[in-house]
Amino acid sequence: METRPGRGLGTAAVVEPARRVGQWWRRRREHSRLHKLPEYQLHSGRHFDVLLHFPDLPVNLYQVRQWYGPLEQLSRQRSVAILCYEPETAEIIRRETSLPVLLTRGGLPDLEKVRTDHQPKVILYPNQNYTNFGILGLNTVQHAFICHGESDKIYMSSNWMKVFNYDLVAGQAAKDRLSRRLFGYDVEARTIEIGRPQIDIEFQAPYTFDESRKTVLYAPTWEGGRTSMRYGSVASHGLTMVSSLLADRRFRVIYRPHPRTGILLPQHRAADLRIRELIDVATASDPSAGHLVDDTPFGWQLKAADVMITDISAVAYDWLTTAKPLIVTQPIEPSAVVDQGSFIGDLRLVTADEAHRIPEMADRALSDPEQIGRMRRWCAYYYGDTTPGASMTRFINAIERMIEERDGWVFQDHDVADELAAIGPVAV
Amino acid sequence: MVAHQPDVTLRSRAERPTVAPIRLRRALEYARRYHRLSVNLRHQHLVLPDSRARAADPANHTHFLINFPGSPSGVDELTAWLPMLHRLSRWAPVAILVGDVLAYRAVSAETALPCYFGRVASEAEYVAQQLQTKVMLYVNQSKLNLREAGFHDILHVFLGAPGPGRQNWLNNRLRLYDYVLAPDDESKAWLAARMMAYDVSTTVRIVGRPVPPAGPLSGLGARLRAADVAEAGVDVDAVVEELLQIRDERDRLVTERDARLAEQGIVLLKGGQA
Repeated sequence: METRPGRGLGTAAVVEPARRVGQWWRRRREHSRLHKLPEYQLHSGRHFDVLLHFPDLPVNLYQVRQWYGPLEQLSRQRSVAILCYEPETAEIIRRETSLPVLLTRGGLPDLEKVRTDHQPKVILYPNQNYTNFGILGLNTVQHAFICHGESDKIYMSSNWMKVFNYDLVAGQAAKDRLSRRLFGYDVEARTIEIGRPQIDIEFQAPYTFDESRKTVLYAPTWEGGRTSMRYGSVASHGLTMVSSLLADRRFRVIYRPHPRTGILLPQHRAADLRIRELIDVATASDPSAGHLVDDTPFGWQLKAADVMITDISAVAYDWLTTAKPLIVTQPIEPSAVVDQGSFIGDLRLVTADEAHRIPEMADRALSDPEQIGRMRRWCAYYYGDTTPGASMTRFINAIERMIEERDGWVFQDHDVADELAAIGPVAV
Repeated sequence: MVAHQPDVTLRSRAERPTVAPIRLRRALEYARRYHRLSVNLRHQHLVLPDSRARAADPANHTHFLINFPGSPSGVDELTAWLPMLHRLSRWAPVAILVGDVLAYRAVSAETALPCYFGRVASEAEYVAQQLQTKVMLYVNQSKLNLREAGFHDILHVFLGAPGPGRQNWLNNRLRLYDYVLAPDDESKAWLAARMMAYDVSTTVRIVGRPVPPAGPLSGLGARLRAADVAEAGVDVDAVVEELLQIRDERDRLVTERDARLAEQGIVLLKGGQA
């Protein structure tokens, strides 16, 4: 690592702090402006049973967007709000959901104000931002980690899970993962299984398809920032697979590339463009086929597609909730790690050499009872009961249970000696 | 049973700080952060290469790594524990991980224990991983503790300061740690009474000495910060004994877990967060 001061670091020492001051000044101005708006004033003194804590910038909004539906459902019986630290994020969320949005600057006095003004009973955390650590100091609240999508990433069994009162996990797979990794963590006592409540939200599909063709969703990931994370198949498999599927009248293709596809590697960018062209040409020659390039919000595709082709990525876990056939590609990068302990390790991955056989593989995946049964077993292991409404019910019951426990604890007569008051208030 | 909220949970409006001092505190805090970042970016090249080289040397390893990502203004929170760390180093390797250039220099000048520099997450993880750390120690409630406490196969232990320093660390964030070494029974009682479903009987260990009866002079003394935690009432031998036991427990847990998983044909990826 280059650590000499030289020009780079010498400049950074001036530019970086100056950039941060500018950022701080803009943020401060925006906070002041938004706090005066009636949309924020309206909720400034309200109590909320449940807060979703989201201190991040808009780049991570995907982590909170997937919770709008379940939280809106929860808000029918409990007061729910989203707590933001960044004005820009707060404004976007406010436009996207009917839930109240609260804005705080996140300093110590601000968090005191959250406690005294809003008196939350449960705070939900969709990510592991270090900024969470401040508000985790509140002791009259149940703090629960809800993640932003099930996966076998090491992140999902990090040791810092211990800081939360509860981890709302998808199912048995998550509990086993935590048991393997964490010492001194009572998995049964500190986790609550909720499945994936997002699957119980009705998404409005922007397209309708007839049943003349089987719909194949091809949702590759991007090329990754590091070679050990180079799972993206657009350049290695994508062109061959898509052209083979487009040439087969049994299939309709929904191509949904990761938004970051091609930002690092030109060959991925070129392959992405070529696939889009192929789909345009196919659609022009037969509009009734219904092929499309999709950049709409994710959700409706789970219902619309019959089979998904993807890479080793989080979207495979979303698809698993459907228990429908799944085909995963083998990354051509040798250093890209394939976790043999995950359900993906149990699948036969498609190599780049086999890409031209994808119609045949898709057909087999749709009809082979062994493959269908295997997906159902994995689905049950990761998500438990996925019958309609089951996940949402478990999510709402988990919140109710935490509130009940919290109220029982807060309103009991605490046997605390008077002299302990000298230690000080419960700091945040 | 009386149904009321504990008196400590909510602060009345009258008690809240007024707006002007809050703004002043915020401005000062930003100025402090600006200065700190600027100093670190300008001077980290003076300490980082040496720190990385020593961490990379396979001859260097540690059982205990004290994590101090905080600013130099709070460095006495760390130096107060140095006598205990020196005592501990007679029995097991001990090292210190510091996240600020000025704090690094201040700590290095105070102790012969090996100091390492880790300002950003990747550097801190590199040091902890290379040194094959078994137990990570924390002396304050820095929010960056959440970063280091994510490391697997390490037991994370919070060293609770005695005296007036208690109000800085007694809070709900203590759930993060595998063990809390509390200086007195009052702290343990506070945790038992004011943290929901927190099992103090297995998590909190008392490592303090009996405090002499309070008189006017000792009362005054209690409000002043002692030079080190031993002077303030921590039993250094008790801390060392507890930490060595925790290290042995960690070794046992890792061995048993790996053997259990090997029987199931599972090999965990190791190192840092992995």
